[in-house]
Amino acid sequence: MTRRPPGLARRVVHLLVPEADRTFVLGDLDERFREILDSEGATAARRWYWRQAALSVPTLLASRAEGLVRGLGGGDLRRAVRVLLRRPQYSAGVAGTLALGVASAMVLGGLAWQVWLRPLPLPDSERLVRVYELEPGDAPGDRTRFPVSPPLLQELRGHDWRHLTGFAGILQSSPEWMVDGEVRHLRGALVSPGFFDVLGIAPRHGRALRRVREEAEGASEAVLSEEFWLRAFGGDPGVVGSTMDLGGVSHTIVGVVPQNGEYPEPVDLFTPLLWDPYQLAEGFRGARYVGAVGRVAPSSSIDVASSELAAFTEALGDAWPSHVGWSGEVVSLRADLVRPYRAALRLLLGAGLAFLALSLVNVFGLSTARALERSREAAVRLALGASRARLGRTALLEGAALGLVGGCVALVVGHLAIAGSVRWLPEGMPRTTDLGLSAGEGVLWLGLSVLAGALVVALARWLVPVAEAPTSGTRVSRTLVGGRAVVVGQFALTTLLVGVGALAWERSAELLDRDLGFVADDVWTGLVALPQTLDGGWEERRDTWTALLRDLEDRGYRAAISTNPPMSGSNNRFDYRRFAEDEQKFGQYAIVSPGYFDVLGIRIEEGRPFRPGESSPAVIISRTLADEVFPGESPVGLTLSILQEDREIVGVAESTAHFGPDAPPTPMMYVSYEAENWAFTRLIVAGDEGVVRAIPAAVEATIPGARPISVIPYGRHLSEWFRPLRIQLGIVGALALIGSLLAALGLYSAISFQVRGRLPELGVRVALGATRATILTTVLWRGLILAGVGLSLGMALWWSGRDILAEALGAAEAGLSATSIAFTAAAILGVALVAVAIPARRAASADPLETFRAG
Amino acid sequence: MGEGREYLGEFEQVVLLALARLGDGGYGAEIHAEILDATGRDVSIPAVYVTLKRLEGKAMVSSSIRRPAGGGRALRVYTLEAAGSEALHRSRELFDRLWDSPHLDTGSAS
Repeated sequence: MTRRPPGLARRVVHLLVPEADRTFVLGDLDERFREILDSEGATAARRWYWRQAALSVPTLLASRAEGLVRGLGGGDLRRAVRVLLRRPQYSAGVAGTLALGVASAMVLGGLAWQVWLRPLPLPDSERLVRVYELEPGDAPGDRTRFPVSPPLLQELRGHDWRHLTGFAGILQSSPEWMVDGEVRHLRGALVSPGFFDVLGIAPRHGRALRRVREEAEGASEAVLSEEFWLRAFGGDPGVVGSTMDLGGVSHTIVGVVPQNGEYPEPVDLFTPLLWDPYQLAEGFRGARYVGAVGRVAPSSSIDVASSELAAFTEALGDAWPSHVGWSGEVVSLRADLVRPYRAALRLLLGAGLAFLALSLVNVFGLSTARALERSREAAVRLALGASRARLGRTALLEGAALGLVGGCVALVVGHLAIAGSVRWLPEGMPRTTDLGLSAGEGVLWLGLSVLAGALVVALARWLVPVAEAPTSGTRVSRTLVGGRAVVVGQFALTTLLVGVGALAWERSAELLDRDLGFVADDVWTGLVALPQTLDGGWEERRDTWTALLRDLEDRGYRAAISTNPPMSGSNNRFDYRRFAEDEQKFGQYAIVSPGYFDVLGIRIEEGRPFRPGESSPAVIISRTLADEVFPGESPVGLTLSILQEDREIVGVAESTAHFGPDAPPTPMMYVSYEAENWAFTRLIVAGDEGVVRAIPAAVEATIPGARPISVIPYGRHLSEWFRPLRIQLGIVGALALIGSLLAALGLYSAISFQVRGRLPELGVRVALGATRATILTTVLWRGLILAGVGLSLGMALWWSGRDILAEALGAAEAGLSATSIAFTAAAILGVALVAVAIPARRAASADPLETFRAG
Repeated sequence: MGEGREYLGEFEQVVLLALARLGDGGYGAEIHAEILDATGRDVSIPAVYVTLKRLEGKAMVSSSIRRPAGGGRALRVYTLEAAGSEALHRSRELFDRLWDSPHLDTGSAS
């Protein structure tokens, strides 16, 4: 049997005991080990040794930490700080670069985490899902998602699910609160009874909205948000039980609920989303406008629940012909909230990490230059008896001190940037109401900065041979070449970022300028559904819609109706073909009133608009449809088979961007509401803010028992669409700015180092009569050449990766216009010029005597 | 040195007392064995060294490298210094004063 102590335990002690005591400590342990071995046997001896090692670990670690702290408080730290203060530009460069990198990672990575990945502040929030209907189609990925229709929501809520535990619907509303003779516009949400149960939100006071079986009585209830309750009622609990007049209807306040600012979007109050029986009939299956959320059962997963929902919705096609081919799916609510921004958030996360890495490379470059300058000093210190370990510790302390300063600056900058993000982040970015940096996160980032500073500076010092002269030898040359390569690489990356920014700018400017085919300024819209009592037949519906439109016109507004207005998220497909043998195609179908084209500014390019009283099944088609089916001929007077029925074409309307400005124009077909109509439609009214009051008043006056749902400015549909684009633009702009700063710092450090290394030569040239202007120009050229190489490389990268960039930006192609190329080049060279200006000025003002001394 | 640092920690007292009991000094394993014999505590030898090093920093002990006359490994031998002896007495006086109370039963361990 071996008489040796356990190797691993001995190794642990060996590692932790300071070198000076190592021989004695290990010798003592071995001695005692052998004594126990002789007296009690090998097992007891080994056990004893292991116990000794285990007991020693905390003491030895604490002792090591104490030694380090003593070192920090002692001569080494003082020396490190003194050395750093002697070179304020180097110190500021390293600390500033670290601050920029850490702040970028903190802000960009932190935002990506907080907005994208952090769980929603709701109980068991990862089980919350959003519910969608999927249009008919073969490829699952290509099928457009739609909110659900009232009948489907009702069926979802009534079905006995295995993998889901609850469903609720939500719609935006803009209630008007009549208080003290004044009208106050509130932000509202219509929610299904049970909405708060699904989300797991318990009322702060009172109760939630009533459950299903009491819905009929719950029509006049309201639940206040806590924020509104505090603002409007001073947090008075007695307000529960009182009433408030919302749009002329008395609502009893039954409770107060807390809001987390993330989901649902902050509103002032919630009122019940209730359906009359007719709204749940077959005719409403095409009205897919209700946002629906659900909760996955604890033992299940989102995928399994989605399959169950798909099977259920697909089976509905057997019973309801209009539902044939439609399916459904559930998706994570958290992921869905930020879905349009996912590419941007991924970009943020990647950019945060890339900037941190770039800043560390820059710190390495600066530190290498500094180490080369100090290699003689290090050689002298070694010769005087300093150990390499001591030199290493000094480097670590220098780096840690710079990391501490950089980290503190990063914390301040990061905190301000995150706290002020509400201002600089594009409006409407979800999950950004409560952004902040916790104390724990702050300590973590500070620690990361200190560690990164210490390690990178020490690594640079370690790689530079101490005995080498500052500007000689192959290692120095390699460092110079490496430094230049890093600068070129950074400028190439910055060129890419500025180019992406220019492209995003071009694309958004182009989309914003693009003719949508309609004008939504000063236009309001609201959904109106007829009560069942008026849903006797199409003639009765027609008369009701006519009365409503006339009432609004009498109030001085231009009003129209459409079942499927552009960019509103609605979708009514129809099939068409010119001849029986033609392939069946699909377009969008809208039932409109004659004034529709006028209210939305859609030009009638050929033929005529609908006339009042137009009861024939004549249609107006869009220019896109006309050009597709009747190329080179006028379709007016011809017929088109629509929904298996021949219809005469009486006009051709300007094409509208039905699914947004970047989608291909959709073939549209319009039919007069006096020939065909449904029990629900969207009102579209041009006018001032008074429309918000006029619509409910007109509806109440002409359709007893009906209420308009969600009266909103039409522009909100458009801004919803443009929101992700604006956010993408803001993010890319910020990234280009940070990238430019990092590239500028890299170039500054590289040129500074070169200038310092060439001071003797510059001194000689000045002494021999070179003018300061010549020296200035020489140095400036050196910097600009490096930036120019980076610029060319960036452009080449751009060209080779333009397809990937186009896909990432959702653009058809990623080619830059001449203006954008000129702008990118000017921006890059401008940044380079600023970065080189300081070292160039220093070189130009070099005193020959001083430079000789420095050499 | 602040006044508060003149008093010893519990383990420092144990190590110093073990060293004092050894008479003319001793090395880590001897001090460890003395503590084990006197108290029954099998303390960690590296911890003894850490403590001795700290006490040496306070000039309470001194150390020297000694090679046994008959050969063998080198030993770091520690000797109690006057400052260490004084610190031990101060600690004892402090505890005596604290124990000197009619409310404390000094006669039993319960």
